[in-house]
Amino acid sequence: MFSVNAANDTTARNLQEFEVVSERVRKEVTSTAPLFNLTNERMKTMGVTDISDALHRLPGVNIRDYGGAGGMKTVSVRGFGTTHTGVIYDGIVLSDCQSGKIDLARYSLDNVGSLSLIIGDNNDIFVPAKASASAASIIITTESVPTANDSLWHVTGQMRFASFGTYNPYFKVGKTLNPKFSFSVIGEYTHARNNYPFTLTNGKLVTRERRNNSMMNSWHGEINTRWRPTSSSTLDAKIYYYDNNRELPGAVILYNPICREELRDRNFFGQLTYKNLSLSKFSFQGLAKFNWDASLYHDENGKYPGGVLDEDYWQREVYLSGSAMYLPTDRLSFNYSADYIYNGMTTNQMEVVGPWRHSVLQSLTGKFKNSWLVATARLLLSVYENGAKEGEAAQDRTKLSPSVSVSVQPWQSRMFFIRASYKNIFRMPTFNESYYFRMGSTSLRPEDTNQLNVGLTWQYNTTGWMNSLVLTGDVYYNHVKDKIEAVPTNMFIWQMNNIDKVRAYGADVTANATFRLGRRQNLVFAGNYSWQRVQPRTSKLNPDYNKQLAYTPIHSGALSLSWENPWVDVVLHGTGVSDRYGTSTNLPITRIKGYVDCGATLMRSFKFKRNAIDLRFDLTNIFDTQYEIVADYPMPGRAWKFTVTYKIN
Amino acid sequence: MKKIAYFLLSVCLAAGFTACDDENGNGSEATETLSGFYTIDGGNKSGKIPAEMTAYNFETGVSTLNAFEAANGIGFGDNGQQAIICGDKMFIAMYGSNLIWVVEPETLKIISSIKPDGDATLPRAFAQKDGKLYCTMYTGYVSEIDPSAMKITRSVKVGPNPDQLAVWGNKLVVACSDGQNSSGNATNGVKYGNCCVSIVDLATFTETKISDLDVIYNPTDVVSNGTDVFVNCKGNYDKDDNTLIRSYVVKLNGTDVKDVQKFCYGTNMAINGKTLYVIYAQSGKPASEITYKKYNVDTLQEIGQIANQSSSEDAKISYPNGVFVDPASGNIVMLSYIVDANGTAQYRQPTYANIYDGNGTFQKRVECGVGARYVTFVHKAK
Repeated sequence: MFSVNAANDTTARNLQEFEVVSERVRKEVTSTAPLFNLTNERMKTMGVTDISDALHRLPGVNIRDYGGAGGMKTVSVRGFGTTHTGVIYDGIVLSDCQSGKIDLARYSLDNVGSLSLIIGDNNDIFVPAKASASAASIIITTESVPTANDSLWHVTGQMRFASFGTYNPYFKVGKTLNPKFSFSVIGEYTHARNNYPFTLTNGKLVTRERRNNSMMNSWHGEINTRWRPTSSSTLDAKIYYYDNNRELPGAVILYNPICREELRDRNFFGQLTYKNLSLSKFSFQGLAKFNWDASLYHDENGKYPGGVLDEDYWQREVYLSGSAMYLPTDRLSFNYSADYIYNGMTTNQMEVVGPWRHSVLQSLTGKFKNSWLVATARLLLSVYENGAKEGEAAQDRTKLSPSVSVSVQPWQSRMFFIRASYKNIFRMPTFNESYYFRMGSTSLRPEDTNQLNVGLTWQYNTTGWMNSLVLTGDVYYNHVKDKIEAVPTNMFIWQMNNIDKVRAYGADVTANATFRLGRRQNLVFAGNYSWQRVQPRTSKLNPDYNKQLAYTPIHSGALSLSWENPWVDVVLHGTGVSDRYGTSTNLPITRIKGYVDCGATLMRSFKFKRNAIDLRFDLTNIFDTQYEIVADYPMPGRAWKFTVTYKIN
Repeated sequence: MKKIAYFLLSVCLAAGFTACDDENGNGSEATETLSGFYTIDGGNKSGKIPAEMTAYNFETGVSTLNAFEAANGIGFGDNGQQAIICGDKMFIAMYGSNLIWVVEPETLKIISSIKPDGDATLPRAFAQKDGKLYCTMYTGYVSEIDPSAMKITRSVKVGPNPDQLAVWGNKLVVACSDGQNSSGNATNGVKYGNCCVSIVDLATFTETKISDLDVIYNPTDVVSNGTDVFVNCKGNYDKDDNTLIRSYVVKLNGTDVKDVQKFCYGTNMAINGKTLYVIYAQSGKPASEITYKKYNVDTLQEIGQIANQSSSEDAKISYPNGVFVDPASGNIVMLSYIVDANGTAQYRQPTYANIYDGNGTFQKRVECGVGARYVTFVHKAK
């Protein structure tokens, strides 16, 4: 909404942005399965400060955050574990065969065009097979290269300073060299001392402490190109490198603050995306990616042989995908996608055997659409072949997974929709679960999930003081069987087993409204609330039966209120979750108190011709609330962030 | 100290149930009564369950959970391992917190604390002799503590990752598991490959090793009655039956490899005079296969069951985590986890201690905190 405020930049641009906004909203309300989308502009309006904060603004998402800039952040959706949540970065699913978890902390929001959450399969059927192989997906789409008919240089330079010794320069340069070829280059670096203070309550003793051994140095670079061989086809290429060298402060341990753990993450990938929409009835998309990932853990302690422990893991992935879309009539469309994926891992660990996996995924999707109904059905055929350089390999699997979804618009004149969706999907055991030292089991079965969702969406637009209102409400019932759990064989030895059953049911509600206060003044409200019960149901005799799953709040939500005006935009926002337990048996001593984290954002943009300077000041955790998301990993208290961005557009 | 004398009589610790100033332990016991015991409850770090202590009073029959914080108003710390009563003080080894608490045995009130630093850190287990306290440090040392000054006086390097230790004549027998030598950088390609039993001569404070992977493999526990010493080797925990090295017990007849006598499987043990108590609960094996046996320490012949577990539902141990014997009264205490429907031990749930008399007759069940792993008996003079 910068451009709206920044006076008469160009009417055309405003219109274009309005169209983008309305397209986003239209997609959300007409989606046959829950879809929530945060565009870059919307995240600004909501005062979103980082990726973890962005995820809090999505309903049904439960975040594990170890705190601070260097703390790992993973998500789970609607009671499915983290390993059931796919993360799609610029069209291709990120994979980590070792742990099955993607640390979202590595994706800064500076280059993100939009962040979406999709739960189940919806009416966007032109997707690679792997994209429908998770119960839910977080979709990160970065800002694209300049368009074909735009020959100007686009330059962004940004500097951010923040509490706890944090600075973060960022740049982006993009240009269309000729109508057929555009490119962009981005680079960013983050240094954070991250030694934030926290309040330690030890019985009657309350002390102020600092996180030790928490420094982080990370950088990330990308080169993106787009080649347009014909007017209706594009070939996108991306080269990506990320390197994060960080100290790990560890859990807070009473009377022993010394920690020397370090972790270096390195990730390189190159990917190609070819799209051809030229034929009237046929469209084609091809993807290829090579991914290399290193996770290098280092600790120093006299208890280790030689005083050092090094745990190094290297993963490689090759990904190939082809999708064809066929539209025989206006009402019918079909998509066939086939993906091949190779994953391999090597490590310096004894007893881990150099596992690899070939996966072939094929999906066939049909969609019917008329004036009041959209219905889709998909079958996903997954073939997984496992192997290992030495020793026994995990079991091979072939499975067929169906999904259906439907959206009905009862009144043509109203943007009111009723939706329902069902999806069955499974996840393969990770390499850690299958092979990890002493714990792994090669005989594990996949974790199987079923999810049912019914929802209502409503979009209301007027020219009155309430400009727009968008409401969504969904209720769901999910079931996980053969859940993989580490089961102790004695205090020190845990083994992976398929024993657990988990049931989840809940409701997600979102509301977005824009109120016109006057000329060039708007009040924008966004809110989401989730109620969820996630219950282990393995056996009535177990102490966790029907209790709330560990680390899963019953209530969670976020609110933001933004006042857009010609002077300084002001956003107030808050996220909160209710009490959780560190154990699934809900042992009272393991209760982790709920919290509300409030923040405020001030923004001002100055524009002259093609130049713009944006100033932004964020204050997070205003009330200095001391809380934990993961037990004994305190989150930062009050902190500030100042960002200055210079753009030539 | 004038009116009341406390004695550590916990045997698994194998300090030879001797008081600091009385090597043979036959001095004042006759005038003492068992007044209660403490358990060290390890908690569960990943479940946000802190370590604590449970206090049980024999006279009142009352047990108190979270006894340390109740007495002191501050947390116990991380990963408590063992407690020993030495004179008028109790010393508690806090492995995770790298701390030794010094507390009043009767009240648990903190007197002081010892913070190990330098190379010898991460306290695990205690033994005492001739007014000196000895503590294993997981970084590969045995440290000598002056109990009255409450200071570490000197340390001697032993094998890697020493766990329990016991007094054997004028020597310390130390189980060095090499337990950290198991993953990434196993130094010789064999996990626990540098494990050994270290013998520390107390006269010279120097160490010699008994190391032979065929007879001593992954030793963690040591018990001694002063003249007979037994070491529990935990094997390799392998999940494959073909490659599994089971957990077993050896007797040391001398300090040479050829003097090591392997004689039964076992995972937990205690000693009282001429009786050795051995529980065998092999990891990965069902609760129905667990055995509870007594052996004569001279003949090494089995002489019966540790306790009668069939007298009532409460008399049963669902999944054992230790056996402890009070030599003065002969009382036996076994610690147990609760189990779920599949018989799997619940490591994040409260545990219990069952008390049996010297004949193995069930007396009482005492509720304990999460992860109770060690019992320290408290005595007072009549």
